[in-house]
Amino acid sequence: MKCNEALNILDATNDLFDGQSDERWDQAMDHLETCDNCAEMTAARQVFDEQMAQAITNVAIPADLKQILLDNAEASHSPSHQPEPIPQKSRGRIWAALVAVAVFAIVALCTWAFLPEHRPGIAAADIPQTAVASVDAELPQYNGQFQPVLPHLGWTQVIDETEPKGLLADDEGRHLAAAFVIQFADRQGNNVRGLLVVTPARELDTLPKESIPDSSQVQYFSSEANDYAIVSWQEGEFAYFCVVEGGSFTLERLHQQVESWSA
Amino acid sequence: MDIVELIDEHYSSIYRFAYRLSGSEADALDLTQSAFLTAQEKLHQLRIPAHARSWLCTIVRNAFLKQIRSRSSENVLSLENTSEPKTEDLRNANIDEEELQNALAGLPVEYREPVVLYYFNELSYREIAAQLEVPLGTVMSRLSRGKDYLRRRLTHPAAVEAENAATAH
Repeated sequence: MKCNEALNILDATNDLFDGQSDERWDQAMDHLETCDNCAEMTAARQVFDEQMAQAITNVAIPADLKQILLDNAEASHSPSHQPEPIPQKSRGRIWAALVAVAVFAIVALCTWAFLPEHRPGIAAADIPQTAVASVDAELPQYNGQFQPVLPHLGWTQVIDETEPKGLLADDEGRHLAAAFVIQFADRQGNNVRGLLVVTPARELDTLPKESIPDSSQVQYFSSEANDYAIVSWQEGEFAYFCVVEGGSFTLERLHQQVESWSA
Repeated sequence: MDIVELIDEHYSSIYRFAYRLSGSEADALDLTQSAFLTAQEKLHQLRIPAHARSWLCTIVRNAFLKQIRSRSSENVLSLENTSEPKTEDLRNANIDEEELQNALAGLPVEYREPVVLYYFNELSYREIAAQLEVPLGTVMSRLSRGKDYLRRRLTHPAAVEAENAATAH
């Protein structure tokens, strides 16, 4: 084994091999026994690494950081801030605006009363568990009343859009959500499975806050067989729930792929 | 675990991580605040309190990547190995905090991330590969080049700066 190769392997430390014997590691160690230069360099690098590990954590913390974070937490928890006192001369205008808003609200309410009542049929909080349980399940063909529309970007590369499956049936057995089976390769080339669940936004009791699949807003679920990452978002009239095997990095990889396919 | 406990236990290490990743006090402050606000919102997702630090680091890392994508300016440096430091230089290196941060800031993000995870979070190569979702060989190669650059930069800063200036022209 050459010096450079041995130094590179030794530089990576033996955690690469999970503490077990490895042919390359053994060869690098053999090289070390016969090469004084490499033995000395490896020892010097270890000293330097220890200094680096110590120096990298040596960062001065702003004195008020903890208080800022605690204040942020409290502010985001409290329902609202105390309102500013209203100047006397603005009150007339505010009353006029309030009256206008009240008239508008009464008209809107009367109009609403004559429209057919629509109640959301799906609890958004139930979808992740349902989707996770459905990744491995044999799902029926979708028979719902809405035409499922795929989100932006290149999703057709990872799903078969002609064969949506059905989820969450109503009292008449019609599906309230459509699910597309996702299959793609992660960076290691492993086959990753998942589901893209589509439902009309008006069927949900709570809408996703995001307007794009944001992998920093991932939820995690585990089944007996696997771990899953889920992200939800709303695009136009539809809400989307993407569930994939693995963690947020798998989801990020999927998102990068659909982004690049759409380009 | 509630948000106050989470802040109490992890605010300093999360700020340090954000600072080493972003290289600026203002960005580190923003990233730390945004990470704890996200954590507060998503606290129910933290099922194992022992994983809180790595969970927070992941939130910081995602926010940082989003931030740099939007800025889209990135240092391009030559990481070619031109001069290996001598063993005595490595042994006697007195790593200055500011010089270290300049050196980290000089590393392109794909090298800086594994380097910070390795030295700061003390993750193994396998753990880094899993977290960055890249093959182990890629982590080995990026860490090897990143560490090599830091060794040269922190033992012979003037020489490396001259190399970079020459590369830039």
